[in-house]
Amino acid sequence: MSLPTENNDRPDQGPADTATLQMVDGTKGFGGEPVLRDMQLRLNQGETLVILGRSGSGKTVLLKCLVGLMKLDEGSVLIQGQDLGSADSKALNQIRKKLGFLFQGAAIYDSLSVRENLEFHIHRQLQIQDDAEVESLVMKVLQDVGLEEAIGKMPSELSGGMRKRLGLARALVSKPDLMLYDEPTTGLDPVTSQEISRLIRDTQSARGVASLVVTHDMRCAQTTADRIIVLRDGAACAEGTYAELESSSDADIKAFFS
Amino acid sequence: MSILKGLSDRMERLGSLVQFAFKAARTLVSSRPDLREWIRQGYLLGNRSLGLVAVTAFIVGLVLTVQSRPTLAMFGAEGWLPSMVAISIIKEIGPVITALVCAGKIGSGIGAEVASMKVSEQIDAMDVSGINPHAYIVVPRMMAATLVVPVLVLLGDAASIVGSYVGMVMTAPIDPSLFITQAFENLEFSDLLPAVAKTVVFGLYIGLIGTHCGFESEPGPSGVAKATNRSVVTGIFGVFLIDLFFVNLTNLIFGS
Repeated sequence: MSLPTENNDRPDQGPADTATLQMVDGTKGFGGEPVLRDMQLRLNQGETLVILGRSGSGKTVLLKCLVGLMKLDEGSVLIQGQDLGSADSKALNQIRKKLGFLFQGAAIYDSLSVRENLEFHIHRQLQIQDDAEVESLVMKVLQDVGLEEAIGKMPSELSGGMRKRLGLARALVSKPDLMLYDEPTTGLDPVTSQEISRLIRDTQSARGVASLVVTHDMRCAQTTADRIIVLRDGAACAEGTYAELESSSDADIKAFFS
Repeated sequence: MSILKGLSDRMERLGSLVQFAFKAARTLVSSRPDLREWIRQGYLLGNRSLGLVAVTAFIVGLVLTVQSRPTLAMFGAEGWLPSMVAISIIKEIGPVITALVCAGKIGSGIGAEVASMKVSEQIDAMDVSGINPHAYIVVPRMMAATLVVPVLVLLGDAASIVGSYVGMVMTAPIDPSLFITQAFENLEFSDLLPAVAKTVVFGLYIGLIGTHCGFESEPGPSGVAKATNRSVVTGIFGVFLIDLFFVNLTNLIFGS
């Protein structure tokens, strides 16, 4: 089994004030069955952390607990030092405005066009009402994700890859400090998967946001990760860079790389 | 044991509905109303239901007239027919039939739409962005249903009266103005006010139930189907309960 090393250059060993996102002793279960067990997680500013795990290992529950869509049974989640569990709904909304989240199915508002999907968030999340400013933000973010030609289309007219791009554009339009990606390449062909992975990497480089990617796609992990945590039965069983984990002697870890 | 479990599930659902209603009410009071969205939703709901309400109400008015005529004729009270039909329609049959049609048409539409938003994580997408989904999903649909159902009931009442006139004409011709005079001469304010008041509650309830069932949807397509079914069944059952409450309240206030 590969365990976290003692390397102090590692982002996970940084001082507390550099942590953008932190989970401490996170425990969550359903009907007496534990899904997360004493989970420790730390994501620093400008870092991309990949959570790798098989189906049913607790990846999605972890992600939902990190953004407050599910409450931990025990432990805490801190976003830029603010505890999600002790925040009231108003404070929680303020914390969440710092987040960008790309859902597995992109979660595009089906009744709104590409433009309206973005305008909805600009109006409601950023409280910007000036038409010129809204237009400029929409065009900028669509150019960033290479979707400017689809501005007038409805979600039903978009391909899987375009929907992911729109989901990413919608998450980025609020200029988040922290990006979370839930299985960003699931359901896409290998070429489009790689395009999305590169887009995640480029977004991180260009904007310097902290990113957490939950995936079981090894190419995506290789392209995007600064550091990887492998999840097994709701707990981190290994941690390291892609190269370190690739050379692991643990059979379960090796299985991901074969 | 299974009875207790069923009861416990229902109580849990009722508790969840009350909590949901309070949250919607708090959002309604605390946030700026998105009137454009209210109107858009109102137009969609009304436009979707108008034809069905009009046809159903027309048939009910016609059938009621045709069926009642022989009985009244036996007692030589045929002259009371327009008045009896109008009072029945405006006080009871019109609001209830229209509300039932709306519980099916509007309730299922809202339930299915919101459930599919829930299943495709669109509601979570608002939540994690710090956008209150109650403000943009629940309140507009609830208020649109509250405003649209009374209008549909009034239009349905009008269609029923027309149906009743056609039913009268089918057996014995009657002058339209005489029919209208006879139909409305015994109607009083105390007949109209509670009838309109309960339609507002019907609308509010149908909107609330539809959005609540959608929000509580389980994952997957079967979750959407269950949520849609539940919004219709609970909606119809609730319409009868609200009607029962209003009939007793009206009798208490205005006398039976």
